[in-house]
Amino acid sequence: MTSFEVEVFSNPYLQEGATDLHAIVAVRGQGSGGAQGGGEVPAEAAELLILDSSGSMAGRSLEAAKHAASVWVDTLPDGVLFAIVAGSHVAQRVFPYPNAPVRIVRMEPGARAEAKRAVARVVASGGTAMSSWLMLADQIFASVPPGVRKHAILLTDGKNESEPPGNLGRAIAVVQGHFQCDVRGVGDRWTVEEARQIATAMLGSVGLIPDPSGIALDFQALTRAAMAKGVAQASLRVWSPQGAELLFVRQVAPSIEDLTLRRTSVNALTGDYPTGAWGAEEREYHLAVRVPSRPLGTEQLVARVQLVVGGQVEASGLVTARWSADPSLTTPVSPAVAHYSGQTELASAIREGLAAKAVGDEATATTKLGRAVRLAQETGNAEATSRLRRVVEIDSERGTVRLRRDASRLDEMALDTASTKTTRVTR
Amino acid sequence: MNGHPDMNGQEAIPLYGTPPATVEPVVAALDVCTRCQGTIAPDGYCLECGAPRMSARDHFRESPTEWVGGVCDRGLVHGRNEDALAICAVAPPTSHPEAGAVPQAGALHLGPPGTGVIVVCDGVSTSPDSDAASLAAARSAVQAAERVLAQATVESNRSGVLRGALLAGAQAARAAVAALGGEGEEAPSCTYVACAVEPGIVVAAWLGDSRVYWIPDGDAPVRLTTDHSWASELVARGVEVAEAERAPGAHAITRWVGADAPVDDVPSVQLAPTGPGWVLVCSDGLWNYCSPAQELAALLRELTRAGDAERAPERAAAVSPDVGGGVGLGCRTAADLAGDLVTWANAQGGRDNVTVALARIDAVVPMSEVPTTLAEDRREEVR
Repeated sequence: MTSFEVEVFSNPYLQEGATDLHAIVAVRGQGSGGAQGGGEVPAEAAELLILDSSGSMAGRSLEAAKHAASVWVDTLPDGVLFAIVAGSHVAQRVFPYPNAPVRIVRMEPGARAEAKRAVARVVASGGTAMSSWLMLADQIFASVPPGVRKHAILLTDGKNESEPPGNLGRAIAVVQGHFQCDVRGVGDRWTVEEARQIATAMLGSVGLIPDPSGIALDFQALTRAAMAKGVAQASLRVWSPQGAELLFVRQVAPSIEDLTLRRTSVNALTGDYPTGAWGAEEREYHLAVRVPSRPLGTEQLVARVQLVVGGQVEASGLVTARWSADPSLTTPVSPAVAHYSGQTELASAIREGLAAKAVGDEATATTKLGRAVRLAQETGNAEATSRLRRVVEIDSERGTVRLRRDASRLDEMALDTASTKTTRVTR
Repeated sequence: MNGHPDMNGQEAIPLYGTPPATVEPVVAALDVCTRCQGTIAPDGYCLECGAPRMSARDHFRESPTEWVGGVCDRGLVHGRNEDALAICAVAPPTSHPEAGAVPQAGALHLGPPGTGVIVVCDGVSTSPDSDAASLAAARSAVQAAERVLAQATVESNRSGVLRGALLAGAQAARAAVAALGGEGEEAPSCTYVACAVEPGIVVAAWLGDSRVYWIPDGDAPVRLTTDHSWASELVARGVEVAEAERAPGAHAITRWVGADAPVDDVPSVQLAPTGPGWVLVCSDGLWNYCSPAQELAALLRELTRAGDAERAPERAAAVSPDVGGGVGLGCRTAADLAGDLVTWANAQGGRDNVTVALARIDAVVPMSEVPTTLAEDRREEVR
């Protein structure tokens, strides 16, 4: 079983007349379900692999993807429900074979051998229409009983160019909340924005695999991580008092995801934000609440933050405010809040800088990426700093940056893909 | 062991003394939010507005009847509530010829059906356990006053009975505080103000700077008590009231209840109201924000109207504006209105514990029927 604890980091002291309180809420899951203890298998997992089989994959990419799919099949423990989809301008079920009486099967040695044979038969042809891939995945997962954790990996190498632009968004709206989906792009011809659109909505991650040889290892890591999730579906529940305004709810670690618009109302004062599956891991959330100012000395609860699994509250944290006339109490900004505010700004600066560069606005790109370099250094994000160095030249003496002429598209994509990854605050 | 009554009818203390009184601790926590009446969750905060739970010592309400009641509150800044409040309402004596138990035709005898006694004590922060001292003092005082009133079945001089009750209260308050122990600087102490209200008579007795005001509906309001404070000393020396109240050490009290207090007479005043109005008893947590009687009267009037209109509009509309000239009990109790004044004080900053109690006199015996001794006792200006 997974148990949870919630910890709140904030400076509760507000000066006279102040209304906004920021807090970082850390949620830790401990213990696990998953594959532990003598290969005991969690029967409550369903795993789906969606492979891009469009014409552009032909050759080394497809061979590597097929090899990775075989490794993925080997990685899945017996008992897990699984299926494989090949996607081009249409989606086709690779395994169980299209004429099978079921849409998804339980892993066992026979299924494993047959699934590998099915993968070997996949050929590359046609275009790319990802909406059809997601719709087929949704159909397959629909045959899985509720309460089973449903997770997909989507691998692509190109742009979603074989359908009208609105299709993908509409499909996402249909399937959102039904399963989680990690998106992986191989090579440099796919677009980070499209992949992110899917992953963000489907509570998954975006990853860049520069070379096809890296696919197998990535699939293995993703599958192991998915298997370790002991809780299929959890929600972050946030209460704020009457008359308060919840300005935003944002996951800030391990990566930045704005959850503000994902709210489903529990009652007038309480909303749930989906977090997807949860294992032995820690995630951190930044929330900002605006409350009417109270007289000096007043204490006030501004938020209750809870982790909810299956309608049950597993852990709670309290965010309080206290108005004070003492500047030594009200002036300090919580280090956690400052850190993650900086990381959020860093992510925006990177993405805005790259977007400006893509449309040829070098002045804006230089300014934004320069800002990103400073923020990465200030918040100790060494990974971001090293990725930024591949796109801009840093003149540390003058504190300025210059766009690198020799930056590759892959470097820019790596920077973009990883822009939402954050480093944790040191406590 | 019971002592024997001495010459003055008081219990003599036996040779070995008596064990110290135990003060019933008020530690129960409230399940209802004092700010919005919402429910307090197990995590200690209101489910509606997020206000923290208060203990029953931090915020409590005394409301023995509709016409007399009050609220005692920690305020916003202090960590504990060193104010205390106790109130009782005693049924009228069975025989009460002088005060007009059989009203004559045309006489307005609609006053409170009995006697209300209010005691407010404000613990002196510099002494330890002053929260326990003030509560013990207020409760003991009201009990003692209640005993005196209960014994007075037929009394030719009601004002004498009421004054006697309040002085007995002061004595009981002293005993209760002394029983808590401590000497000199360590002795717990508090202010004492007691007020007895019944048809046609208001009597107040006090030590310290907690106050009684008389706020008649149709006449000029007055403060009945004179603070025993450094500010008062300054006023006596000719300093302007407002300036004196702002002076350094203005709040230092010159008389109080406590083991270290000089034992001397407890001053008292009385008044024979000739029309309807409010008796307001409060600690400095209220009057710090609104000291002049005129301003307090205006505030009370405003809060009565606002409260009636906001909380019970349909009933407020039904209440005839003639009742109490529109500033009477309205559709809420005296304790409700006292609660509004406490809320108002907290909205001004709540820098101190705040206690407010009110007693309503709706109408009184006309002057012609008031016993002459009482009419002579009536004081026009008490400041």
